[in-house]
Amino acid sequence: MYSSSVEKLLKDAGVQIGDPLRVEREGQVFEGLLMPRPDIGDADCLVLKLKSGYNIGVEGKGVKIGKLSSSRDEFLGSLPREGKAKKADEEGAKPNNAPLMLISTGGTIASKVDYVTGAVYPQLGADELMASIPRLNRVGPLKTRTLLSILSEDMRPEHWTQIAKGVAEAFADGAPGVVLPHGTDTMGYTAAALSFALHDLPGPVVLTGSQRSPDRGSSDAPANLFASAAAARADWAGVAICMHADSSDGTNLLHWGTRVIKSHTSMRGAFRSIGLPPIGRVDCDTGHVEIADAEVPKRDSKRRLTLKDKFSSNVHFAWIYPGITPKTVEKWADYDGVLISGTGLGNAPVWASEPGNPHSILPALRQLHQSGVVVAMASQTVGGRVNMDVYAGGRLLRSAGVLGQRADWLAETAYVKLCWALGQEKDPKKAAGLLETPLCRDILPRSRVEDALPWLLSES
Amino acid sequence: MLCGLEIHQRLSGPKLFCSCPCPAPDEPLREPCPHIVRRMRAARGENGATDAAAAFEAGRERILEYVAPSTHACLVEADEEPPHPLNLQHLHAVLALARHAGATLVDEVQVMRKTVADGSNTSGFQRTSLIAVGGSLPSPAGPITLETMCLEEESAGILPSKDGRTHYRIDRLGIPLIEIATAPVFTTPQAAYEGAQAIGMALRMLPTAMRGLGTIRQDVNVSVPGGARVEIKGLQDLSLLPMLIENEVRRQEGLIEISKEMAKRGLGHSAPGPAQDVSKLFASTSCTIISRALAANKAHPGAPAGSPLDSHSPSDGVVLAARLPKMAGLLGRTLYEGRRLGSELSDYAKMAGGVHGLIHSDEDLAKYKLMPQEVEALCRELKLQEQDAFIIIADEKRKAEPAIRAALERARVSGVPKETRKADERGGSSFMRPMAGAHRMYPETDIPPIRISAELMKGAEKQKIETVEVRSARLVSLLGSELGEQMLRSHQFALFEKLVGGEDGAKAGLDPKLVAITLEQTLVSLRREGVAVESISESALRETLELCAQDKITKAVIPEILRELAKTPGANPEKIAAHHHWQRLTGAALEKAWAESGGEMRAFMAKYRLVAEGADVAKLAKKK
Repeated sequence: MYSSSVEKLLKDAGVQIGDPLRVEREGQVFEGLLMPRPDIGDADCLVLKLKSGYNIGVEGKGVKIGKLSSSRDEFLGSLPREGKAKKADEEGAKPNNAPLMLISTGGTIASKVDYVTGAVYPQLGADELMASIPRLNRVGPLKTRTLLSILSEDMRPEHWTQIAKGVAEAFADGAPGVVLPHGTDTMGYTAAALSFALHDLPGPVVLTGSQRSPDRGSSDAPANLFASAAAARADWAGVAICMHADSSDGTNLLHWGTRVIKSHTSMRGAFRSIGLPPIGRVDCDTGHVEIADAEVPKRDSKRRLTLKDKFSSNVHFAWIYPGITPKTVEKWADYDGVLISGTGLGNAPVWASEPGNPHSILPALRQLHQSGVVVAMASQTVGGRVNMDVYAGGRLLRSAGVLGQRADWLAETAYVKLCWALGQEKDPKKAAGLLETPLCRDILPRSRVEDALPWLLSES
Repeated sequence: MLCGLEIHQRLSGPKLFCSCPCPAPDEPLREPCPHIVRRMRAARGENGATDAAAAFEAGRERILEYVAPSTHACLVEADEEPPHPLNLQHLHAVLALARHAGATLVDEVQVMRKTVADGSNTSGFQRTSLIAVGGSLPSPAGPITLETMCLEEESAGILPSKDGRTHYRIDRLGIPLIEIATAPVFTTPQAAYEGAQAIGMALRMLPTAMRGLGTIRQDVNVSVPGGARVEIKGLQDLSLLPMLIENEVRRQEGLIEISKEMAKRGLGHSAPGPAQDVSKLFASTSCTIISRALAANKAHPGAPAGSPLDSHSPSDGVVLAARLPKMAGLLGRTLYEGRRLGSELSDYAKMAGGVHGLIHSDEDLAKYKLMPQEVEALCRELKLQEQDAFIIIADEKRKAEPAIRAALERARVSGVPKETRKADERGGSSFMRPMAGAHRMYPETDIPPIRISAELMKGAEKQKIETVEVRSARLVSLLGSELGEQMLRSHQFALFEKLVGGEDGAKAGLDPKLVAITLEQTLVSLRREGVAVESISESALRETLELCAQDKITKAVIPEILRELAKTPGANPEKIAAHHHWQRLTGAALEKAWAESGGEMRAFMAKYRLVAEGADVAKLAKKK
């Protein structure tokens, strides 16, 4: 938005956004297209796109402005014609196959410049997204649907319900698989949510995104979408995330929906499988899919999907840190559930050696439990299993009703599961039972040596 | 003829958008380094259109391999981390130069993404921002009017391609560049040459101007009446600029002539093409180019089974040909020495498809071992009529198809197409990509706009810029008027300053005159002899001159050592001197040789010219 004085100047000159105009100040003349003003920066500066394509800011005070007679196209040069999708790609399409369903939810993968903030924001619909990647039709026909256009940090449990319903509808319509473009930040949460909400899936549900927006030539979006579409056609069923294996364009990994985290703020290969190797990989050039995990079920169109899509929105996700106080914990009483991300094996400051220490959060936790709040433990170490028997403090936590003993679940997955369990069951005891019952490999009975070295395995 | 210049000067210090140090111009590449493999696509511009140049480059579907030396590249260069804020030290430098040139500053700087799809930027774009417009810089022929002054990032350095992949080193990526574009003010090649020198010199007055070979680059825009604006990039040697411009003028005039001739011949409605698969005509050819392409069919079995692509066999070899109506005799017409219309078409084929070139009917076809009956069969197949020409491309299908499409598209253009061309080492140029336009610009969403504030201007004031007069006086006092003036104009000036112990911390003590003579005379005459002086590294040159300064070699042997260094780049000058017994004779050794020679100055110097310093011998002669 321009400042009111600049707005007036523009109005008086009859200039609108997108018009070519002439700005004169102390003998210096700038000619350019008037661009929208992002909220960031100086609202008194006119943003002009010059003939050369450069944008510059020119202070709007004390300038003379006038509309140019040329049209926008005359000014910048007419638009180059768009290249048609290559014929080879059309030849590769397999029209006999039932179309895959691509349900867009937003995220970087659907983002381009936003003139309100000047940063990127998801505003590409599923159709536009697909059109930008002509290679996609090599893996057969695809139908699209734009369900949401939000960044994934804005996702709420209600959105998980919405997405789960969308997926169920797609399979009901006969889609052999579903591709879900999604923001990467909370993609792991959504993958876990869909794992819990969609029972007896007949085919693959593949979440994907991009770490570099598609408005740049180097975007990882085309490879990720292509690989995900190929994975959604392959012979398996379940929920997985399909993203770059590393910094190169070449191989994508399929991470099981309950066992995946985003482990880097910006790199293409940010996603890692924890406690379970990636279930498969996709060659981003050929679209060849290899499912390496024998426990992953095969696809079966006769399987009847059951939808358990209710999630509680009243669950707290708490981080244990040095200095946390009982007062903080007491404030959680309004929640239906609290997932604690504890230290190490599942610890928290309960002063086992000094009962009655005022810094202990044990009484407050016990109070939560007694008032009907479901409290469960996961570890902030990312890898490994909770074991609250090893230290006296852990035993005290268990006695105070903290759940999650011997679960090797990811904290994010455990949080989502608590939302889901409380969505399914209002009764705290029943919800606790659901929570602690392994589902979709969120809790594994044993940790294999090689699986406990995820850093090595997911890079191999 | 009208000609404008774009001069790029690298700045030293940290990179423009991250905290990596800038590598020296001759920084060796030390493997092992991380290698990253990527593909590039043409992204749409801000107004939704794909730039023609970007679409062309992306259409080449190259596989890019980036080498990332960790000393000078981080996740930002690898396009794995958003850029850090623009380094204000470099903005200060441009602001200082803009004031020096009397240019008008913009009020708010917007960093832009200039789409570059050839892979030379890992992100797919070059970050660039317009800082000032107008202004002028002085030159002996009068002030040169400037159009724009930009601050932008350097691209990655290209490496020899291997395994069908394009390789780049990304340590060079992100070095700050000041780009100065002049108005099209030069009307002769010589004026452009002198203008480039003057601007280059003015840029070197900046305290942070990086010095050394390759730290300043000139691109040139040329247009003739009835022609088009053509941009030529990648000129390595400024002394070739006049020839480059002259050749470009001849090329444009030649193309205009050809279009007139075509109009006279009257094309009617028949356009060049379409391309036809004529492989079957050459099943038993003895033409090596064609038989090699067809042999590739057996070498590549196609995509692996199970992939969705196994219906294609893009690696099959094919022979594609097309008719060019009424173009007989025109393809072979010389535009300037070594360049014909046929070479222009061939450039498009090479760039679009990565083929080695094409064969056209104006060439001596016997030289390709094409039999007359094969040519006859081809003419029949293409339904060639009198005055018609043809082109042939033989290669893998995936290369040959885009190649012949591009060549035919070029053949359809009458006159001079708007192009970006690449300068070669002989003063000529070849097609690189269509001219990029405004549509390739997109705002850099990762960096907020920067308001030019009083505080920024205060920072700019700290960057003192020496005037050319002051520097000129300094050089004349060091080198005398003739050599001093020569050095002031020389593109080797930066190196001179470095070698005589300028601000770069070089070992001081090298005799300015010796350095100036070596740079301005010795290297020039060696180059004229055909010695590959460009392969002599700056450090080897310095070491050679240091040997002389330490009295380890004579001045006379310097050219000989440089000659050897050009032959074996990377060799050690001291070892070369030792190997050839070129160490300088002094003291007892010299006296002994002098005594044994019989004491005749002329005969002695004839024998010991390379190892004895005349002055030393003269002293001995006097003693006697």
